[in-house]
Amino acid sequence: MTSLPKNTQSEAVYCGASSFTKGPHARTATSQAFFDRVCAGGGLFNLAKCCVARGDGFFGQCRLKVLMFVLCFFSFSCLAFADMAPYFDPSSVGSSASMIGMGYIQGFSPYANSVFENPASLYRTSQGSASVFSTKIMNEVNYYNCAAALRLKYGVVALGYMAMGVDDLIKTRINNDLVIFGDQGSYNYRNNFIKLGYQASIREHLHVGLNLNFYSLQMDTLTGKGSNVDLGMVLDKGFIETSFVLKNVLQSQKMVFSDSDTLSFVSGTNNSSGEKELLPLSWILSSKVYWRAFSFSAQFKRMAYYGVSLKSFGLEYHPSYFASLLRFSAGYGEYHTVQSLKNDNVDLTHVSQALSFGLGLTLFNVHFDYAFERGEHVVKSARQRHYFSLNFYF
Amino acid sequence: MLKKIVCIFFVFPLLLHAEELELRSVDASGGFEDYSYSLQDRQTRQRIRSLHETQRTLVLRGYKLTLEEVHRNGSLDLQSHDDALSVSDVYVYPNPFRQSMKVFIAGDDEEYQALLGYKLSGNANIDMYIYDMLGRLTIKRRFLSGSVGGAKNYNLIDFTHLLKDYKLSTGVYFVYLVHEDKVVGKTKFGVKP
Repeated sequence: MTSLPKNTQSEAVYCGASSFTKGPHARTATSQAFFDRVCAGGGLFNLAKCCVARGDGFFGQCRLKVLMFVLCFFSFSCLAFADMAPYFDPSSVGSSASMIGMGYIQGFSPYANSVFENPASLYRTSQGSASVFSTKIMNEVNYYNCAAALRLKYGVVALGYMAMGVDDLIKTRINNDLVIFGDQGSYNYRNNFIKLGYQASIREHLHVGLNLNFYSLQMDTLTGKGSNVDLGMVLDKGFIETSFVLKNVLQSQKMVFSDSDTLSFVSGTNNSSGEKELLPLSWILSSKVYWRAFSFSAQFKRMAYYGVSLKSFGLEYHPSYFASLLRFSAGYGEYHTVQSLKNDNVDLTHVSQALSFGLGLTLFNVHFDYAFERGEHVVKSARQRHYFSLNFYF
Repeated sequence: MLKKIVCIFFVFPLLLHAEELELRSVDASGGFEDYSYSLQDRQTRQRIRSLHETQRTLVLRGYKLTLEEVHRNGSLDLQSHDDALSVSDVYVYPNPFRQSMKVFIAGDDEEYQALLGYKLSGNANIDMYIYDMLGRLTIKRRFLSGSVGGAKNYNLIDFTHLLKDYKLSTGVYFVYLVHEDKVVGKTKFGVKP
């Protein structure tokens, strides 16, 4: 492989099957007819069978259109799964202070933390990078993540770890007079997940990526495990970049719980063994436009289970004199609330807004980010949130 | 002239910082017998031993009060602009609890999903806010003064009605009890699938 010319080598990397090659015109015509048949007959499974039967790799003859088909397929399959609660995804906190300062816009980080957003955006990794991010929510919830990315001959690989925890939850008992006592000790909550990411470039401006996600949860006697896959692509046209990512595309994969709780009552037990939760499919489309010292970003996010799309907008400013050192940002982001505030009416589509501001500083291959966000909370000190993240690159 | 200067420099600041303390008896006798408090104004200390039996309310202005001894027996309700309603023993049972489970407690005919209990020092309107781990408001309810959730002494809230229409994700949730825009009590609980 190393003796191949650069273009040929790239083709082998992108397609995964360099032996099956044809002329560009024949490829286009064949893939068009093939794609039409698939669309008419319908189904991702048929498409895969056809590709295998014809000896194509996934990124073979019709790689772009197949990719578009897959993305469209999952985009329109964001249906509600009201019978099963969605798993609490800790990545909703955000992956870095930089993205929070931009209104939670994902897919444009040049550092390793992009493995949490869109694996395709790992293409910006020059040789390698590492990221750390930490915050505390409501003075109760500890959250941190770290990631590392490395460019190899066949693309960029990345490893990300994210953890969220709450300590000292009080175990209770109740007496016959229906009075609750908190004298049974305490327990902790831990929610972790690992992402293994891989990015490859299909063309000069088109990049794709894949994440393997491994989720785990611990809370008192309860443990849960699950895994899923993210797919992403980035189109980089210089002055405009577009990112599209599908998270948790395998809807057959669920979070599965086991429990050793022995507390039981006349009408049931408090043991959750065998229970499942949905790893909700979501798609995120975001775009960024560069104009002079500014960049404007917009994002639409939709998650199965919730019925509305979330919008985010961000503005970034690089002072011309400090263009490579300093960066200011502001963002507007929307997020779901679980239930509306109207008496007993359930409304899963309720959306709240948050404003955020960010500051970035780069010195000696180290990039520091700070973000400030003002949200809604009954406790004044919890309304204002501060985020810090640190990135190293080489 | 000297009196005016004294008034401007000493009396006027006292008026600006005037605090109001209201003592109200709620015991059966309706009196303020056998209690004492100290009245602190700069370094002057004044002590009052008794009040008339029929005087149910005492309002003092221009002084900072430190209550030393409220009462000997019976209950006395203390309210001022600085003193908030006290809430204690805020717990959820079971913790963590399984949403699909029903708790049936011996000696009671009712079935519950989970229970939130707390003790109030007096009748008051209580707003209950429940947040998830991202600080997103999940549930808000208001309990009126004197009704379940806003009554003096022990209150027991049934989560069955609170959570009947939807499922929460597995995780930790934070309960804040709010009275007149002040957080008077809080707790956290775990939810299992």
